[in-house]
Formats: sequence, C-alpha cells, structure tokens
Amino acid sequence: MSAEFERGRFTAIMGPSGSGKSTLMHCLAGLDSVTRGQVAIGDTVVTGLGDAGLTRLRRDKVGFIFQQFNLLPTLSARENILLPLSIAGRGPDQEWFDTVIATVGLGDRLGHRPSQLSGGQQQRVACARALVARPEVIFADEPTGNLDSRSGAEVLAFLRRSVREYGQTIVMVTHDPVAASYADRVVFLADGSIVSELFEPTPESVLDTMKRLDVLSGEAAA
Amino acid sequence: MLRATLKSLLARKLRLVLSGLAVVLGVMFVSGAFVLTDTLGRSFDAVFSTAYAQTDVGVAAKPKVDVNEFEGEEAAAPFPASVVDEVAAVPGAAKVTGYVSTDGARLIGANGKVVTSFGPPQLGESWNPDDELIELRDGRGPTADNEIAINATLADAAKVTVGDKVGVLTREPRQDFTVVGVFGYSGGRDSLGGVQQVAFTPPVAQKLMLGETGVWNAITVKAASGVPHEKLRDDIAAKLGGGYEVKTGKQLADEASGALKQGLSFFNNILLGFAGVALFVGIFLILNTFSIIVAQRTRELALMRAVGASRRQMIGSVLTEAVVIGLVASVLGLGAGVGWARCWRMYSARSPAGWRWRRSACRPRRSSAPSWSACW
Repeated sequence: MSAEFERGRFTAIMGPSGSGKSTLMHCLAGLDSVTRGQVAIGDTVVTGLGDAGLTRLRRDKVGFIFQQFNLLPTLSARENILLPLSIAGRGPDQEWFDTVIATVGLGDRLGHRPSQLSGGQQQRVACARALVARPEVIFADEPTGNLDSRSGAEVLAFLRRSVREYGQTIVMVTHDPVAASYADRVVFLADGSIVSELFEPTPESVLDTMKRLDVLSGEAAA
Repeated sequence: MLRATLKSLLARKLRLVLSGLAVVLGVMFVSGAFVLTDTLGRSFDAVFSTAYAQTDVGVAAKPKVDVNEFEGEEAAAPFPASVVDEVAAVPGAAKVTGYVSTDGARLIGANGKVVTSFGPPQLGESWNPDDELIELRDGRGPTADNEIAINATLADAAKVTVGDKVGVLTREPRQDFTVVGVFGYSGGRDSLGGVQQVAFTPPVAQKLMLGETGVWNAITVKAASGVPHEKLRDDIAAKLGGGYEVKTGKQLADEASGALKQGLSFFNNILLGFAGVALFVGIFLILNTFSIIVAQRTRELALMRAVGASRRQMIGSVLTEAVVIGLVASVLGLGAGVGWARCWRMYSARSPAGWRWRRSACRPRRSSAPSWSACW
C-alpha cells in the first residue's frame, strides 16, 4: 500500500481490529521496521535508519500520544511535558511552552504528579509533551480510548486546534467515528490496504462509510 | 534526564533500601575488620611502649628448656643476683635493677575462691619502690614478708582492699598475706593490658616465684645520659656471654607487640573471611536486585526511548542508579563498619587482653623485661 499524510493536516486512520492501522503507524514512526518499501517523514527516510538515526528522528521529528497516557509517575506535570526537551538537552522555548500550556488549560496543575490528575488531564499533559518539542508529525494511538466522551472531546478539540492554529501535523489511529470526525481526512484500512477515504468528515459520514465497508467485506466473505 | 533518573530512584524507597542493604553489609564487614584490628594493634603498641618506657636495656637468662607457647607455660629462668653487679659495672649503665616477675601468683578472693583470668597472666613480682611507671592508689608498698601490694585490676576482680588478709597460691602451698597497697599505672589505668599483679618483697618473691632466694629472672638497665642504648646493649651482652638475652627497650616493645599483632592478623583474616562470604552472597543479591530493578523499569525505559532518549542515555540512567546506590551504601557501610569496630572495641576494653588466647605470649610488663623470652 501507499499513503501520504500531508503536512499541517489532521489525519485519522480507521479500520476494524487486525486491519493493520497500528502496524502502519508503528512503521511510520520508526517503532517497527518495514520488510519492504520505504517510509519518509519530511526529508528524512526512516527506512534503514540505524539506532542513532532513529533516536534522532524520535527526538526531533516525531511526537507520540498513547492510549495509556504513559506519563512518568515520579515526575510532575511540568517535568513530564519538558522530558523530551531535557532528554535532548535543549531548553524550552518559554513563549511556546506558555502557549501550549494555555491551550491545554493546565496552567494551575503543572506541579501535580500524574496520579493527582484525572485521565483527561493526564492525556492533555501527554499532548502538551508531544507538542512542546514542535515535531514534524505527532502520532496518536487511540488517544481517547481510555477517556470518557467529554474528556475525549476536550483532547480532540485541542488536537484540532493545534493543527489549525499552529500548523501541527497529526496522524491519529482510532476506532471511534466521533473522534475521527475531528480530523480533516479519514483513511479507512481493511486487511492491510486502504479501502476508502473521506475529507471533512462528520460522525455520520464516517459511520456510513464504516457500515458500507462492513457490507462490502461481508459480501466478499460470502 | 539525570533528574528523571534520580527522581524515579527516590520514588522507590523500599527498592532502594533493599538493594543498598546488600552493599552496606558487605562494606561494613570489610571496613569493620580493618578498623578493628588496626585500632587494637595501635592500642597494643601504646601499651607496650609504656610498659618498656623506663627500660633502656633489658636482660634475661635464656630459658634452659624451650617451651612451645602453645603447649605450656615457659619456665622462668632465674640467674644469680650477682649478675646485677656485673651489669652495673658496664660503663654507661646508670641504674640497674633486678626483678622477679613470672606467671603463677593466684590470689584467693574475698569469696574464698581463686581469682581467675581469661588470658592475661597472673604475675607474681618483686616490689620496687623506685618504679616510675607505678602509681600507688592506696596504702603503701610491702615492707614485711607477710605484706603484698596488688594492682587495681586484681583488687577489683578479687574485691579486696587495703588491710584485707588474703591467701596467695604460688609454687608453694597457700600462704596468707596482708594487702597493704593497691597500685595502678599512669593515665588512670588499672593495669597494662589486663594483667593481674601481686607484688611481694623481693626475698619473698624470689622464694615463692623462683624457688630460691638470691636470684632474679630479669634486669632492667637505665642508660647514663648520652649513651646510645644499642651500644650499651652490645657491651652488656659481651660482658655476660651467651647465656643471656640482652635487648633494648624499643626492641622489647616491638617484639612484644609484633607477636601480638601476628595473633591479630590471624583474627583479621577470620573477619575478612566473613566479609568475603558476605560480599560473595551480596554479589548475587545485588545482581538479582538490579535485574529486578531493570525489569520493573522496562516500561519507563521504553517510554524514555519513545520520546527520544538514546541507548546510551538509557544505559547511563541504569548505571547512574547503580552508582548512586553503590556510593551511598558504601559510605553507609563504611560508617557502620567504623561504628561496629568501635562498639566491639569498647566492649572489649574491659578486658583488652582477653584477645590474647596465647596465655604465655609476650605479656605487657611494667618496666622490666622478664617475659619477653616467651616471644620467640
């Protein structure tokens, strides 16, 4: 399969379990290596990068948001957000840091440990962590999978804003048609290939497409 | 990065304590063993240099029969009192004193039982009023044949004071004496190294300890000012001939403490053996703990990798944890070892010579050199 994800856009990848969406994202992010073909982020060819190269890629070009938040429990929210920068040995851009914090609405919770934050707040910390290093692309793996609909909506709204206002590029894997409707474009996967695409989706149009694909695959199976 | 590592370290205190404990114990054993034997050795040095402080040259007869220290008491080797005059005739000898001092004077205490000793000898001696090391605590020195002075250690052990009538067992059957004096040593010490001493008048000491009157078993010589001790030693040795051992006070002190230190090094080796076992077990404990730590941290390390930490930073983070634990635990172990050694030393200070399982080995002796023949 071949796919492109445009800079400055919010793309969702959808598909039933086992359709290869997570595999696709891991390959894109350099977490898994591809056996054939080529992956590139911006000017950087990910395929064939060594350990040092992948480290540099993760440090400078890629941000992650996980379903499980994956914050370090021993660090405060502020330290968690600044972790990628401190690992890379860079100081934060204070203005950008303040902007990000204001956008995620965590100004008064920066000194708290993750265990003192709600799930939605933890995920917003994780988003801020991904954003603060200004990567070329952020990969989000089911970012709302562990959140109730309201917290999920907050996180998604925030992700969309970061794309619209700051030109961030985001690729998100999700099951949820509502979550997918926040994206600019939805890519549907089935059995490892792209079967459909939607632009400017709404929950309804996503759901329709999913139903249609279900019928198609059911017919194919029959 | 460093901060994240340290914070995660501090957040898991129990883990920290348990992995540190293995290191602490191992280090404590090793450092404690070294500190203990070293301080003991140094205190024995001090005891012996005091004991021989007034002796410039010591003379003793060579024992007629060589007795292995481990097999039994050495036999005192008496020599005629005329030897004192011979030594005094050597140019450079300012003051020559003959002594009796051998093991085997057992006092019968207030409870009617013989006072025992755990290692230190029970010396029977001739009283010398000019002895500069001795400080009379109470009463006076013996002047009559039925009078004795005892040192404070013995007085404590026997629970007797000046004026008491006590029995003393020697080579002869029990004889009764009156305690007329209790003496100690400079610096408030009750004895040198826990030795028990009974001081008789010289004729009684000769009779009871050496079997006949008119003999000594040791001579101390004070050199005239400006006379080198070594020269005096050689002159005396030349005059007396081969039947006598002549040594300078420094030689005597060194040999006595050297022999004791040999015993101490044996003790040190035992302690180090324990320390070795502790460390050997500790190695597995530490190895195991660290593999558990790394397994526990896998998630954390994976996340660090995902947000851009390099392999080197990860290894550095694990190593930092190891170094911090190792360093802190080593310092704690060192402190614990020193403290442990000090406690043991304080406990053993009550009977410092209790360390000496070699009963007849080189006992510290006031100002004379009677027993150094046992040092060979």
